[in-house]
Amino acid sequence: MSRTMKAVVYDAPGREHASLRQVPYPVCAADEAIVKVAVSGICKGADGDHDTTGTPQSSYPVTPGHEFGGVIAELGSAVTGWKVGERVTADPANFCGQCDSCREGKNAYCTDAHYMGHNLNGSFAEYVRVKAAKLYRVPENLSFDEISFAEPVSCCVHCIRRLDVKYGETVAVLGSGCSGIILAQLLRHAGAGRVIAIAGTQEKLDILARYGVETIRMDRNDYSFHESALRSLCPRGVDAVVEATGSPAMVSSGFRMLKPGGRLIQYALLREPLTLDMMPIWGGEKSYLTSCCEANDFPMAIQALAQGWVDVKPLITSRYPLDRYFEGLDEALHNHRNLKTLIVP
Amino acid sequence: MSDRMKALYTVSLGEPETHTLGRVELREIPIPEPGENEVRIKVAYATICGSDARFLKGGLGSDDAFIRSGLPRRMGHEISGVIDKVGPGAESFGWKRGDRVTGNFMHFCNACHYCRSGNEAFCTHAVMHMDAMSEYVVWNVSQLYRLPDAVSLMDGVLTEPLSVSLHAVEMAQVKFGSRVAVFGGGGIGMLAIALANHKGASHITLFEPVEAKRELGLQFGADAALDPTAPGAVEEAMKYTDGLGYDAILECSGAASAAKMALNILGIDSHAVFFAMYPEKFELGVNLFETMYRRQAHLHGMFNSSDLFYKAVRMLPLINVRPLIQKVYAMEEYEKAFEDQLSGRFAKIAFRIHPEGLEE
Repeated sequence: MSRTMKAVVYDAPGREHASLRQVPYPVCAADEAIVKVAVSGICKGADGDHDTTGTPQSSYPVTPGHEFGGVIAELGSAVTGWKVGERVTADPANFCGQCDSCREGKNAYCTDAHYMGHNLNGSFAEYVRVKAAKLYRVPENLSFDEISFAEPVSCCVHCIRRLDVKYGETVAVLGSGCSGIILAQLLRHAGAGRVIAIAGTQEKLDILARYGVETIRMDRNDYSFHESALRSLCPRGVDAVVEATGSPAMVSSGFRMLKPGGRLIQYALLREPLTLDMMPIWGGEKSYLTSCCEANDFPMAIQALAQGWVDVKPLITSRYPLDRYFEGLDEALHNHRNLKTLIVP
Repeated sequence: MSDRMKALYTVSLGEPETHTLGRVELREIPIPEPGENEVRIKVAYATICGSDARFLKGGLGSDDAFIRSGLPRRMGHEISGVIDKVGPGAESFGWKRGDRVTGNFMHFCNACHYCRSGNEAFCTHAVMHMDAMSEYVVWNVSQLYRLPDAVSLMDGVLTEPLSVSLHAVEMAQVKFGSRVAVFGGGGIGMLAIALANHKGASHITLFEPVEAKRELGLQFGADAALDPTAPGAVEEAMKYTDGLGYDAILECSGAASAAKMALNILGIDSHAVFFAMYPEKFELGVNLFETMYRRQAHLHGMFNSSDLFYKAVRMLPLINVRPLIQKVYAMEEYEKAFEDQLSGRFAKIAFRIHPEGLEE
C-alpha cells in the first residue's frame, strides 16, 4: 500500500467542495524537494477565496497554503547544495522564464506561472513538494512561526520597492491588518522620514506605536476626523499613501490626504469598482500605483525578518491543528480582531 | 548685552613646503544687525569640517590665490542656533525670535542660470556665509531650516554634513537590499552608513585605515569594517557580496588609493559616487572595457549637498548622530580643537558657542 498524508483539499471552489483527508504522499522529481511542514499561515485573501469563488490562478483540485516553514524531508536526485533536515521556506511563485513577460524581465506578470496553493499543491498538509530552486534557508535567529511570514513580507517589500520611497518622505499607511502592520514597519526602514498609520482598531494601532509609527485612530463613519487629524500633523499632506484596506472610500480619502505630486499605491485588493473625483487628482498631478504580488522579493523579506526590521510575532493571534483547519479559517475570516492564524500539521 | 561678539578667523594659510600650519585667531567684532528678510541667529553649535582644516594645511592649488586674497576670513558653515532677532519681512516667512534653526551656508541668488534650472548648488552669485564659528550670524530666511522638536541643537549642527551624505546615497541609488561600500570613516562616511542602513541596504562595508573609526562605523550600522591597507582587503570585501561586487559605492575618503580600490569592487550595473576634495592633479585610471562596458558601472561625481537640507532635517530625528561629535570645545579653545581636527583621530569636533537653551 502506498504512503499517504493528511491534507486540506478543495475539489472545486467553495467550502462544500473542501475536505480534510488522506491523499498520496507527493512524488519528488529530480529538481524538487519534499518539505515536512512545521507551520503554515492562513492568507485571508487567497485562502478565503478558495472557500467561496476560487482564485483566478487556481486549478482544482488543489491543496491551499503558500506561507510556511518546515524541514527538508526528501531531495530529488539532481538537487545539490541542500541537505535533508535543513530548516527552510519556499517562494510559492514559480515563473516559467519563457513567456514574453518573463523575457521582458517582468516575471511578476508571467503568463504561465505556477503558484503553490493555487495551481500547485500547497502547505496545508503534512508535506509539500517544491522546486529546489525556490527553497530558502531559515536564518538561525528565526522560528518557523516567523519564517512563515516570508511570503506576506515579500509582498510588502514588493510594494515598497514599487513605491520607491525617497529620504525624508512622509508616508501614510491606511489599514492596520496584517499587511498594514508589516508595511508600516518596513517603511520605517525604507528611508521614510515619518510613517503615519491610520486605522479603526486601537489595539492594532498600539502594535505599530511600539515601532515608532505615528498613529491616527479613524472614525469609520466620519472620514473628516482622520483627514483633519492628518492635516494637523502634516498641513501640506503626505508624500505617499499605501492603501491597505481595500475600501473604495478609503482610496478617495487617501488621495485627499496626498500632497500635490504625491502618489498612492493600492496594496489591498479592491473588490468593488472605484469612482474617483479626478479633478483634484488631475490638478495635483497625483499618481495611482498598484502592487499585487511578489517577485524576486524573498531574499530581502527574509533579511528584513532576520534583522528585526519586521517583527511578526505580535501578528500571530491564533493557532489551530491541521485537523481543525476550517475552524481556523472561519476565525481568520470572521473575527475582526484576528491578524494571522497559523495551522500546525 | 554688549554690542561686541567673538568670532574665529583664519588669518593665514598653511605652507606645505615649509610644513607650517595656517593660523587661527579669535577676534572681537560688532554684533551684526539683520536686514530685510534676514534673521540674526544666536549660534549654539558650529562643527569643524575637513575643509576648514584644509585651509590650515594649505596647498589649495588653484584656489590658493583666491582664498589668500580673502584673508582674514571667517570660519564655519555647519551651524545650529536660535533666532535672536528678526529683520523686516522675515516674520512674513514664518520666522520668529526663539525658533530653533539650522541653515544652508549658501545664499542662492535665484537669478542665475543654475538657480533657474534646479542646480542651485552651482549658483554663480551665491553669497557664502562661512561665519558659523561666532556668537551671532545674520543669514537670509531662504537659508533657514527649522529643527524638529525631537532634535537637539547639538545634533542639529550636523544637518549640513548629513545633507551631503544624503545626496551621495541618493545618487548611488541605494535601495532595499542594496550592497553598499563606503570608503572613508569620517563624519560624511558615518552619516552615509546610517542613511544607507535606514534605506534598507542589506550589507554595508566600511573601508577605513583607523581602527577607532572602523569601530565607530560598526556602531553606525556597517556590517563589516575593513582596513584598506591590509593585504587581501578587496578579496575579503568581495566575499561579503558572494563575489558579485557592490551595488553602491560611496568614496568619501578623498584618498587616491581608495578611489582606485573602489573600481575593483563594482558589481554589475552598480553606481559609484566620488565625493571628496581630491588632490587637484590626481587622475583616476578607468579601464573602460572592464568597468564601463563589461560591468556597466555608473560613475558619478558630486559637488556638495545640492540643497537637500529639507530632507536632511527630516532624517535627523531618525538617526543617532550624537556619537559622531567626539570633542566639544569652547571657541577660546580653538588651538586644541584644530590640533585635534588635524590629527585625523576624531569624526567630528564641535564648538559649543551658546549652550543649549541659554537665554541672556
